Amino acid sequence: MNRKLLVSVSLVVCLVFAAGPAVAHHGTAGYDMDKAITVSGVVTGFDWSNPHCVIHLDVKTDSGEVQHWLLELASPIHMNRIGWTKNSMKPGDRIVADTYPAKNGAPVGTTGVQYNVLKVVINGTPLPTR
Amino acid sequence: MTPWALEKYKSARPPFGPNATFEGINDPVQLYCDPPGIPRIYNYPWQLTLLQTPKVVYILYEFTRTWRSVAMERGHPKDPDSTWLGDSVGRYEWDTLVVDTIGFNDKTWLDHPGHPHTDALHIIERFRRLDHDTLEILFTVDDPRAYTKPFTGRRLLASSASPMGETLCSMSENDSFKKQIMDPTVGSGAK
Repeated sequence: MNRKLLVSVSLVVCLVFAAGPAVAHHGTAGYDMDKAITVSGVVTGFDWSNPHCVIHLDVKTDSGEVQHWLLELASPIHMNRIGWTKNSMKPGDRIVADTYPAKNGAPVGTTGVQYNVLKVVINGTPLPTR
Repeated sequence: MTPWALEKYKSARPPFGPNATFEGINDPVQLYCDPPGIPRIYNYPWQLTLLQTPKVVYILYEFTRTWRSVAMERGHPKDPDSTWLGDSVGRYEWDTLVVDTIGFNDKTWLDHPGHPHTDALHIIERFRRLDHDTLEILFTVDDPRAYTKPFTGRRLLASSASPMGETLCSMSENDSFKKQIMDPTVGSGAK
């Protein structure tokens, strides 16, 4: 189709395309991407913001201490496109989530990049993963 | 790479690629919310829109809400100012939109691992629909001051029914995310 034909059909032609799988806003250098772990506890917050959504949760350790974890997700747009919203969880909800943990043992993990989100279960109900 | 480009590449501390790190990152997008530049913006997994008007094709990128204008009825100025996205002129070769861009500044990376370029950068992008739902972007990078010969890249994008959304790069949000998520993963891992 040449330009003149396009113009004759419509004054403005708009095409929207999306990139396929790729790394997101930053890489995964800080995480152990070979070993997903499962954490469970209580949601204390949910940041629905760029560059990445973040789940805050308190996890009770084997010794009975409460450890505060942060789980990184994809950007709000990517999460929204697989069916999540800012109301997907709220403080006080019970959560079970898979995550790739920080290599250095810090209580931080990545639970989703772009459209590949790991398992997240809120009050017994799984959230969309892709 | 020329010796200059090789040294520059070695000094990159990217969060992506074979030398990926979360420590001391000097990626200009990550650090300053600088525009991602061309062709690096195609490394990011966000959408783009091609908007054709009679004299100009606009390329709207969802990531950082960057947009470019491609002039369809003129050539390049003789000595264009150096800008983040350069001066783009376009033409159709049958079913392919060919975009020729010069006049870049030297502040962006060509890709996530941090390959540099100079203001002599010349990029030709070829946009073609392989089928109704697939857009192919072939690009040729030529920068004789940084690379001993031109090289090419290819990106495939799928059509999307989802409207373009807001993915601005905000320094305050980036800084908050870095302190909250990235910094704790660096070093000994204080808990």
